[in-house]
Amino acid sequence: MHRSIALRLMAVISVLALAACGANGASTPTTAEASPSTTAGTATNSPTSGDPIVIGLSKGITGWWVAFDGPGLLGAQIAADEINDAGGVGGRPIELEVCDAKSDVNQAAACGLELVEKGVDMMLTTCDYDFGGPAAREANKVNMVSIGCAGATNFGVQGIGPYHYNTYAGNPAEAATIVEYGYKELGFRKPYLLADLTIEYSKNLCELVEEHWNSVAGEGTIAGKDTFMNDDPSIAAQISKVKASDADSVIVCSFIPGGGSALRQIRGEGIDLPIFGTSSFDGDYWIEAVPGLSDFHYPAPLSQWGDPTDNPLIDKVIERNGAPPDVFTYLLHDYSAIYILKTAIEQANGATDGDSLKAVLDTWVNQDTPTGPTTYTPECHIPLDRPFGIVKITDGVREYLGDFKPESVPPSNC
Amino acid sequence: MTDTAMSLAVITPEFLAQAVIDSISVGSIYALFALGIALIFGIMGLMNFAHGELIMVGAYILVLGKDLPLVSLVAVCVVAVVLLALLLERVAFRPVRQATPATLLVTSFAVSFLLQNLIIQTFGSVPRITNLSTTLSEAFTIGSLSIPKLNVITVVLTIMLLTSLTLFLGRSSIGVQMRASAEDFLMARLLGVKANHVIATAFAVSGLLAAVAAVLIIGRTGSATPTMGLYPVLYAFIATILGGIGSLTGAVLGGYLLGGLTVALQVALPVELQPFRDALMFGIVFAVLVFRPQGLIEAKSMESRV
Repeated sequence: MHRSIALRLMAVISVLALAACGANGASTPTTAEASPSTTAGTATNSPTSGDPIVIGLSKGITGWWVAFDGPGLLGAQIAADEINDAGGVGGRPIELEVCDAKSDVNQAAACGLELVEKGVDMMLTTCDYDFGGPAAREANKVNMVSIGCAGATNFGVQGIGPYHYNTYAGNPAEAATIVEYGYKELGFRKPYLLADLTIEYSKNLCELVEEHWNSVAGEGTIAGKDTFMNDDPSIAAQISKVKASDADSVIVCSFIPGGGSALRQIRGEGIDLPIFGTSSFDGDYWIEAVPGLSDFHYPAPLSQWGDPTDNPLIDKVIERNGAPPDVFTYLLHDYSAIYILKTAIEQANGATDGDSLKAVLDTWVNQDTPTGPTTYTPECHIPLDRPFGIVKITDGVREYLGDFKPESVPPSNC
Repeated sequence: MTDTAMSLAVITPEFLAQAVIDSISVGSIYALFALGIALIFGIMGLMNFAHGELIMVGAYILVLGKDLPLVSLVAVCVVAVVLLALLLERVAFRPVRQATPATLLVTSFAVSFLLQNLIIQTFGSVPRITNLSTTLSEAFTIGSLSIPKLNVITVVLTIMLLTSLTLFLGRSSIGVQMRASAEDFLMARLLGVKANHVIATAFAVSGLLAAVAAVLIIGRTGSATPTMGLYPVLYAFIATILGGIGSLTGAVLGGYLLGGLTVALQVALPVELQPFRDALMFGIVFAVLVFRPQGLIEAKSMESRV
């Protein structure tokens, strides 16, 4: 009987402990050294002097976001190490202060607040409007520059505030690329749109694709549209509707894993129409799920190295961790964010306050960054006019076809 | 053409036949989910939230052992998931068996979180990908109809499992004891039914159902994630409640009805209303429950408990 009571108590305590883990993460700030994915600190052994420039990172180090924030943090660390090894920023080393947002929207706000209170100079957030926005808003409240990368058009001036910048070209540019490349280069005339409603990114992207398609190809030329959820175990009904339509192509606005599953099911049911995916299909870790995938294109985020299928940053990750990153895009964006801050500080003659950095960043026109040419204005902090790299998959093998810049981009918040 | 007109225009006899096939296939998967939940609930009153994690662990086994031949891999998956189900019963659920339903529920949540986070810690939260079998992702073509082989396998497997389970519960000694326990656990124990034995068998069977569900999901989607168990369990609960909580036949019926409803709404709803597909579906389920609070088939065990 006593044993039974003890076991029950243990069960209750385990549950409470688990609940506490989820609710209170901010009290245990992690430094770059403490993160499991790091191999070295960022401010050690560097030929720098002077006060460090402290960059706060609100990232999901635990929970499901670690799949994307883990590589992001690694990218930021690689960039910081490179900069510190080369003498820092005006002689000052870069130091990273990491707060675990635990893949939780509420925790992201707490992390933002904690980093502000710790006196960081600027902030990097989770690359997502829903999960990164709360931390970015805390930075904005104290006129601190924050950088994130997300497709959602609200991850900029109008949605967050005047001190938040986005390294990603955003959904309008991505949608325009899909539509114009599909229409002009691949000869799509009657596409079928499959929208994944699970997150704002994929849902909003398909809305913008439809809007831009209507302006490029004319109203009434979309063969049909349908929706699904990323974790639907079957999209049989949607596929039957595609088959019953007169579509000549399919545009799948989704992300991995559900996007890959959708492709597997579409090809499995014998639909061999050309398919256009999204930038979330970048990388090759998912291709095995779709045996012999062919006639599939996606727009890949641009980088300073051109070919998105062969990037020297990947070698640096292999050097550090012994294995390539699973998800590359996020690694590149946070790597770029650190260099964007470095360039801005240098252009602001070493100033690190939000107003000085903003004054510089808002004048950028096609500034070189690791994520490609970047333009910011006081009204728009999303580099909408950046081209995308087009990648084609034939028989499961990726091939970079070159960069593509759409002629116009649907108007939106930025 | 408006979206509504468009969805009406495509409804031809072939399309309807395709929709019926889709419904049966999706319904079979839901029925498998629901049966695993209903079996445990019927016998020990436990709404096992960790059932989804059994499916998830099965999926990871399929991904990690992808170099094995398909038959061996499926066998390993079934054995491992059954063993895990037995382990959970022994370590987590047996000590709290006499506790209130709320304690049982919280325990199952704790087990569910634990397994999810163990997987995240071990394999990360990046989806793990496999191509279980290229043959499985191909389709049979009959006239203008195409039926993925996996759909046929899903339906055949579900029917085989349901038949075996019915025979097992109806004919075998332990099966009869399980049914007796499901109707009145206390009376069954007084009559000499060994509780540990019966409950462990129920968990083993639910493990088997979870492993088969994992094979069918991975065959379809090709990817395993730590949170992939959530969706099956949610649908299993709804199917179980719709069919009549505690009734095994009800759970299967609920699964097929839910599958049919999902496909029907996906086909019939104009695209503007599709974001509300699940809300509408659950609304219909609620409406059914208003008229039949006990579900479509009332379990005998529930009469005395309510």
